[in-house]
Amino acid sequence: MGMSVRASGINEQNLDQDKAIWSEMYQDNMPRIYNYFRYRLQNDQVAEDLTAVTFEKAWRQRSRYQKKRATMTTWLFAIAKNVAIDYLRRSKPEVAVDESIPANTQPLEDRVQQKENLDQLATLLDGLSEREAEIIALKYGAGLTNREIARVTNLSSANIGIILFRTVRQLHRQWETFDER
Amino acid sequence: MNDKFLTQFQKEPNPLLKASLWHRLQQIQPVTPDSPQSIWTKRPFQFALAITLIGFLTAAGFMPQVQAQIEDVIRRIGGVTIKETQTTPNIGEDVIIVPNTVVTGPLDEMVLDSQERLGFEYEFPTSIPSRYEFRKVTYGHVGRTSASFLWIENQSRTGLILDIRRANSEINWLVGPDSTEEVTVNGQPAALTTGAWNADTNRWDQSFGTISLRWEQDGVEYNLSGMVNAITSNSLIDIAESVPRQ
Repeated sequence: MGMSVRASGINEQNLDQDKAIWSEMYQDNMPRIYNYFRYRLQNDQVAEDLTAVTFEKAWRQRSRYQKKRATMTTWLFAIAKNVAIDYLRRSKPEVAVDESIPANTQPLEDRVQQKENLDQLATLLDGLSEREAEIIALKYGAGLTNREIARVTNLSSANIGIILFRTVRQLHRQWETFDER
Repeated sequence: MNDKFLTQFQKEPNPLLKASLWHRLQQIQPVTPDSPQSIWTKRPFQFALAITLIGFLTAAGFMPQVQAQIEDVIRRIGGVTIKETQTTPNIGEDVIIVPNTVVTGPLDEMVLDSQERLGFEYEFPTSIPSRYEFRKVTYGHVGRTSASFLWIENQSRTGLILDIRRANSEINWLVGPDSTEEVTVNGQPAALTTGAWNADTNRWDQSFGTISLRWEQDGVEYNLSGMVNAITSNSLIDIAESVPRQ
């Protein structure tokens, strides 16, 4: 998915003055932020909208980014995390999950497959606590390392490792149950 | 730990979304960073120079010929009020992120739905080029005063956006100097603007490739925008002229 280049690798540059670096940061992190929201909220349309909100916030405040305090990745995902929290706190969205796949934009088979995947993901993550769901989204949606997740969530790397181990084990059992049906 | 089953739900974002969002970001003004020190303690020489320049410019500003040049120009073209200015809007203002409501569905249903949400009826263009595919309507939560329809062009993957709002006499559009020309839509004046605000230079940038046609018809203000590499000004006018007149 083109997620191999880490934004932290460009952290030494003056981000506010170098448009090329911001462009690279965007190309690298946009798919990760998008998939973070997909895993967190299991809705493609909402994921697109919140990805846009996250980058608009980051872009407006880019002159306030301080590389000494956080890597670009940590900073971006801290914004994304707050955007997700704001969204979850708001009243029920007007675009219901079942109606969220736009008509006429994709072949029917793709849409059915996409809906099945999102339903499957939602079923899989159903029953997790907010913290577990957040960490799973950061790990498997965004592809962050345990250390990066620790920075975003203010937990220790060791703690992240333990939570991930237990949560994935629980999800794997559910997954095998699906397969047996 | 067997966790491969969890990665299969990842998906590449729509390339169109990726491209259009990046384009949109270029037009957003950054917030000026808070200064931890006063400029006097940080850069005394620059501060003294700035004070001298301010005094000089203030004195020069009283000269009539200078005053005429630094004034903004407010133009009213066909019911649309436009302010041409050198000053980039929103510099230094706090960031306000306005949540949007996005609605998708068949276009004809979305038009009716938007009339209900906006609280007034309006006519809609009957001739959108077939290469453009309708995607969604976006409403701002605050006031819900406008509806923004988005189409995507198949080849260039660029957007065509139609904003619709009730016409009023307020200054709705801040644009750069010499960016707007008067054209006609069904014989009535309309404003054709090229370019966009450049977030990096804080200047109006004609090279951005954005082209917008704004006109007023039957108490409704329309703003139709596209990219010059995908649509011509004549095509925008054709679309505008396809709006039925009451």
